[in-house]
Amino acid sequence: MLLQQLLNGIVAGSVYALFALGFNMVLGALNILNVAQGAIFAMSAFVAFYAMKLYAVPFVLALLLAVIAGGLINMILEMIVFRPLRARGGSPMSTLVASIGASMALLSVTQKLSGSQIERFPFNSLPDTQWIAGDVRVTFIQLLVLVTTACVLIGSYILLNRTKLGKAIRTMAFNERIARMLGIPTAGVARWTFFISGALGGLAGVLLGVMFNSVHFLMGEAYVLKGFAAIVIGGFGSVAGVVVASMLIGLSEVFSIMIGIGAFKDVVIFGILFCFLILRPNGMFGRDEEPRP
Amino acid sequence: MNWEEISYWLIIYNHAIVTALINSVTALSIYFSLRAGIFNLSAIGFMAIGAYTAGILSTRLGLPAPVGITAGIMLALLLGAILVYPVLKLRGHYLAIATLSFAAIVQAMAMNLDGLTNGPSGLLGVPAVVRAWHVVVVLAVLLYIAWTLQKSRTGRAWDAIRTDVSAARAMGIDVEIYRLKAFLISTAVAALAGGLWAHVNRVIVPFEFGFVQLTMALVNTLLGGISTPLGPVLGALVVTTMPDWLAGFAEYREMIIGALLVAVVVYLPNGLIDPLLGFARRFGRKRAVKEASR
Amino acid sequence: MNAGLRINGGDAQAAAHALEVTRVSKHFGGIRALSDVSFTVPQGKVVGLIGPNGAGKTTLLNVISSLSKPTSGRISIARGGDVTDWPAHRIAAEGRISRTFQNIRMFQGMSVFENVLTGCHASLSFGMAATLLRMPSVRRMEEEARDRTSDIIHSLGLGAYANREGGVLSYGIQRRVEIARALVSNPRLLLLDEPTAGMTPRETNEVKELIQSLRERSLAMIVIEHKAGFIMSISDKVVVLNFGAVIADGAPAVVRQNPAVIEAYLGAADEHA
Repeated sequence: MLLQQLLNGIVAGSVYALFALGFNMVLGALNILNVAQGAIFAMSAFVAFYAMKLYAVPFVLALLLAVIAGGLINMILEMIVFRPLRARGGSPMSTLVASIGASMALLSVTQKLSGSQIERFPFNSLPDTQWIAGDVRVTFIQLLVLVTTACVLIGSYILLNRTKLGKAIRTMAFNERIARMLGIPTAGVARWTFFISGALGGLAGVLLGVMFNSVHFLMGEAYVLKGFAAIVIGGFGSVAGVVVASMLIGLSEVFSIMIGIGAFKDVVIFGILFCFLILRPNGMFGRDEEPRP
Repeated sequence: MNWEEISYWLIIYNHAIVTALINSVTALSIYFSLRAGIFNLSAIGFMAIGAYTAGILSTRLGLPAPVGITAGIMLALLLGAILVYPVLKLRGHYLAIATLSFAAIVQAMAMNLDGLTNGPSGLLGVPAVVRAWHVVVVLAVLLYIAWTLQKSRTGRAWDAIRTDVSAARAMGIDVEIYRLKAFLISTAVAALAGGLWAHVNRVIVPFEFGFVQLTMALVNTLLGGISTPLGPVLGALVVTTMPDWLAGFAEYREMIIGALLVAVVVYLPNGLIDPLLGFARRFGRKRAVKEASR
Repeated sequence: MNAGLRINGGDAQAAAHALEVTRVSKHFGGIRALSDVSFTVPQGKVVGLIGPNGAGKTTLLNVISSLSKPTSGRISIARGGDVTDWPAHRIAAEGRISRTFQNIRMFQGMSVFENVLTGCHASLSFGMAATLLRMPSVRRMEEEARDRTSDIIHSLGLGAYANREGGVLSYGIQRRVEIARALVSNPRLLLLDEPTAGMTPRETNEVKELIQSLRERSLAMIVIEHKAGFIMSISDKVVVLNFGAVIADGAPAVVRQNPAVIEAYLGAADEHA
């Protein structure tokens, strides 16, 4: 029983990690907290859903479409909202507020297009197989989530540490002015960072939608706050931190349900978030920054 | 229009008007924080606290509205005071996250503490004793307070803190205390809005204190701009009554408002009112300079 | 430009220095910004603070004004004693130390008049309740503060700009506004961080005259500047920093000849003003 719950917690945590990584990237490289990530989460899930339901597109292809859609939408947001805002020196306040507005507009569009109902994926769109090992049952979806997350993590590592784009992103995260002085095309890097971030959010959305077999335009909002928690607890700027924190959040949820305070699982998470904000705002692995006078 | 028509119109649209007025109060709550440079997104959470306290005290204990509303404000201030010390040390994003999370926790509690708040179905039967003119009086008092403070030493301190914290310290301004004052005022005003709302709407549901409402409140405040306390009030009045004069587009309200918020933040960072004021000011100044150089 | 400036004189006791810095060090992570810095600012005297870029001059001012805490060492002032642990706003308000900043930090969105008026903050002692109740004492103090602001603005030749928004003015004017803002609170010690940076020779000369007239009224000052000639002509004594440590401290003529100083500045000194 315990092992099963552990597995469930880690699977949930993996989805949170995918979402939070997208958040973390944009926050780290561009100092923008993009609340619209939640809307993109839902929109991508719908893209996959409609592809499969209306056009009988196979799952893998639908997933790919959704991921690209997520990336594109986020990228467009960057171009029409955040680029001009940053050009006039957007403060953290103004970018966050702009992202809240964009989020609302996108959510509303999704609502209009999809109706406010909860949709379910077509029957048999995914293999039903399960593997049983002693007390523990792993479904295909769960395995898919774990494998995908592992691939994404490896991919991120390679991206951030071995590619030119990755180095550019890390330099921008460190200090944007220096990055520009070094000749890094910050505009292009910003665009790609948003694309990747949106793609990750979209990936998380589809996986979650399939896992719980429900797609609804507001599905992403809860994850926005969990993404925040992951970033703060894990220490933003640290990929490892965000992933570990996401796992912890997933596990804490599962255990809350187990002990019977399931209704308050969110409160537990936020409680932990607050403790970190007060005692250790840089999170578990975050960078230590002394404020300059 | 004669008096008959006007009073008829007022009765029909009474609910919309009162709602718009209460939204103005909420917008003022956000204004006080933003004016001091505090990115405080907890307004909806404190509004919920004010609303539920007033609602519970009047339905369970039969206490009159003013008592319930005042109790709501006291409770909010207590929570706010506890929250403020750790939270105000945070900067930028962290502060936003902390206050947003607080509001989310309040909503979650409202949904789950069935015994107290009656959960998702909401608290029913709150006596509808608050009238439009009550809210107008409250608004007038708040505007007086906001206006007077803004022109005074306190307002200058807040402006200084908002623009440059270190320079403000170097002027002898105790940044921490002023931030605290702004935060607590915001808290009290938000709870007041909530308490009034409870006695207008008769029903309090947790759903009303979520992300969408927060966005609306932000739009209200920012559309008018925070350079003057009239800004958020006018912003709230305009946006809340929008469905009525946007008839055909009412369905697309959220979309329009979201897009509007983005446009305002990006292109009109001082809101809509300020450019108009700025124009008037510059016009006045040009005349003065012309006079002076003769 | 100098008529009508009333500056509070220093203490009658010549014994207590306006400022005493004792063995101040400041570490940022692995970087030693200041090492064991000690010097004094006598009452009513001007101390010039010079040194190559990165020597720690601004850091030192930040420590003195308490915007940054020293890793070790103490700061004391004439009426206040040891103020090392005082928060920045108390140093400004009670300690009566005012300053300007290297990159001009005016309050955006406020007019010149409002900027300088904000400098009066500490001298006004009423709170929110009194303001809201419109007590007569409040109005009186506000009027007095406004008069003081007006006086300072006019005596620094800023009258024409009083209602203009700070951000759009020329560098020289902005710098003067910053100085006005620092002066309006009647400080005992004024810290000027590169007051003539980016100014024309004429503007530089005006600042020089301003500093000299302030000195005549016994206002103690620390002035950071790169223009060696400028510093030598206005200072009663000169403190030279290099790599965070004091390498010379004395009368301008003496410091000028100091071989360590010359070496630190090899090729870098510019002899304007």
